[in-house]
Amino acid sequence: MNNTLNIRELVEGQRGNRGEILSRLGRLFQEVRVLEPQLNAFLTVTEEEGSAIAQSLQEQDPQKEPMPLEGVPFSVKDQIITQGVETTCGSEILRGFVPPFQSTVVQRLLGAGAVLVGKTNQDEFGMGSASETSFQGTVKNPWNPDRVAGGSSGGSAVSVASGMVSFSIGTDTGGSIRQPASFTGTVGLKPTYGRVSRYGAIAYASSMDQMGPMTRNVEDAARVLQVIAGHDPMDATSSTKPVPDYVSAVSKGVKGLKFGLPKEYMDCSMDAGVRTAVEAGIQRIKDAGGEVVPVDLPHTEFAIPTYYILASAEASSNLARYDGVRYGHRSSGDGSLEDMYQDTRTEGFGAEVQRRIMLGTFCLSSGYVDAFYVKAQQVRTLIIEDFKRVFDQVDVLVSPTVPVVAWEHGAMADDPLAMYQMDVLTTACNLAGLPGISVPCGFSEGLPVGLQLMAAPFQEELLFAAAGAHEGRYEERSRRPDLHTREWMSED
Amino acid sequence: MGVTREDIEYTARLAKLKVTGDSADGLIDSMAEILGYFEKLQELSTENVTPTTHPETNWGSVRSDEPSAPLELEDVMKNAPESSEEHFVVPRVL
Repeated sequence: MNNTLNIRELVEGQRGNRGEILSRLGRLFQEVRVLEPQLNAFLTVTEEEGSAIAQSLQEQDPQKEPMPLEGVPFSVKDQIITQGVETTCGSEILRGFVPPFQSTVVQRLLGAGAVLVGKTNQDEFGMGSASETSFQGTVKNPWNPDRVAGGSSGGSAVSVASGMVSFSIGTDTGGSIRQPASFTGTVGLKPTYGRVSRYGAIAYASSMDQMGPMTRNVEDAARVLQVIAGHDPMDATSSTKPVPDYVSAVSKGVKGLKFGLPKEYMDCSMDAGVRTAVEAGIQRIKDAGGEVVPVDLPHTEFAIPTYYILASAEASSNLARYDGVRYGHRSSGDGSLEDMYQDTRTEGFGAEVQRRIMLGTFCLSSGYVDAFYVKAQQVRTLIIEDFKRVFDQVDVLVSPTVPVVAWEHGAMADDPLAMYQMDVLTTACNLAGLPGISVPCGFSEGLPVGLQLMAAPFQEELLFAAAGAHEGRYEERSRRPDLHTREWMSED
Repeated sequence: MGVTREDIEYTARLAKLKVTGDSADGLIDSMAEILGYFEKLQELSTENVTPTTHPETNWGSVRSDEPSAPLELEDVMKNAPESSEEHFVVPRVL
């Protein structure tokens, strides 16, 4: 039994030895069947599709050079389109929707030889921080099933943390990759806005949405980003900048790099155990040769209201397309067209999604648009200017990812504002379009704590160098939740 | 900030949602609290600050304006709640 294989080892294992892909995958699906009732990480398990891919890989010339992700099992958040595989966004309104096209990210992963295991559970349309608002129930944290998995990419994080897949693709609009990564002891990267094509990412807030990898170690995240990054003619906001060598950046070290510790991030209300773990993480960066200096991001306290106004406004527009005409749920009533629209949307959307559509519509409505929406766009400019000033002084910002560890199920379900405020350390990164990564840095109450690193746009290499240096000095980097053995990864 | 039942009902009409009874009461309370929190932005002077719609990025060029293969009609239509041949069926409008 060996549950520690990383992507490089899995791919190397195929070299001249492709005969075991299918049997290994069979053991993996067996594992999923055992763990799923405990964790609820998946909305759809794609055993048929995954087995077909594995079969075709196995039939290749044994001497052929392995593809970058050949035979590596992965999952995809249900927010992301998968051609021919049901895609619901965790919402009743998209129940039964089978996309007729492929997202660019999934197309690139399949082209690199990765094997799709399933679509992961999430907060409905990405709106939540606990993965409790899906129409298919709550995701459980593998470190303690009484605690939330984080959100909205909670199912993706759990599928990785529990060893059911090697990597997952999540989406991050205000922290939805980094926060569940922090809660589950995994690595979660939100790339720069424009680094990864959004074609096929079901839109929540289009000016902030970004897809990225969730993995068990830093090098795996670099290997996945290497495949999915780069310009896509199908997304006009995707950048034409060349894709650098992320994998080699992981081992570059941090000597000569300057790290900024934002005073406002460390001064926020934070669990004592989280603070201790984060300070230990910062010490590892110093021990590796990084210089750490205090910096100011003076508009930090305005990031959450700015984010929630803009995200809700964009969502109210993006979700207008769910009208019961072309796909998804339609109310069975026999009233007018207007009644059909209203009944369909009221039946199909959950309470939190309806609240955000209402908030966004209100902030965009006549009489309020200047006070809320335009004002928030102006404050967004001030937040971006804060980061520009800081990145003239330092290379990387370091902070906690979340000020707390995973909370108990239901603890914030009735207090949406309290839940929004948990995003205090992650939303500014999206407002400014920066790359950010959460890496495990310790434990509090027996639950994982994440360290967040942020850099200037398109400086993912710096994040990988810093995250790699930290990981190399983190003694508990191989600690995994206490689940039963993961035999699918074994060599025999 | 104060949010009235009329505000909620007007906004729901714009958003094509139905809010009635208990759901309206709950929304009035939570939206009042959240919108009150949003008003925090009024503490900041933003005179002469340019609004940001998207983060700066090295945006790529748009695709050339050439037709390409459309989606398979059959795959598209099978997602429709109600359809007739190549048409989506909706309640009578006229």
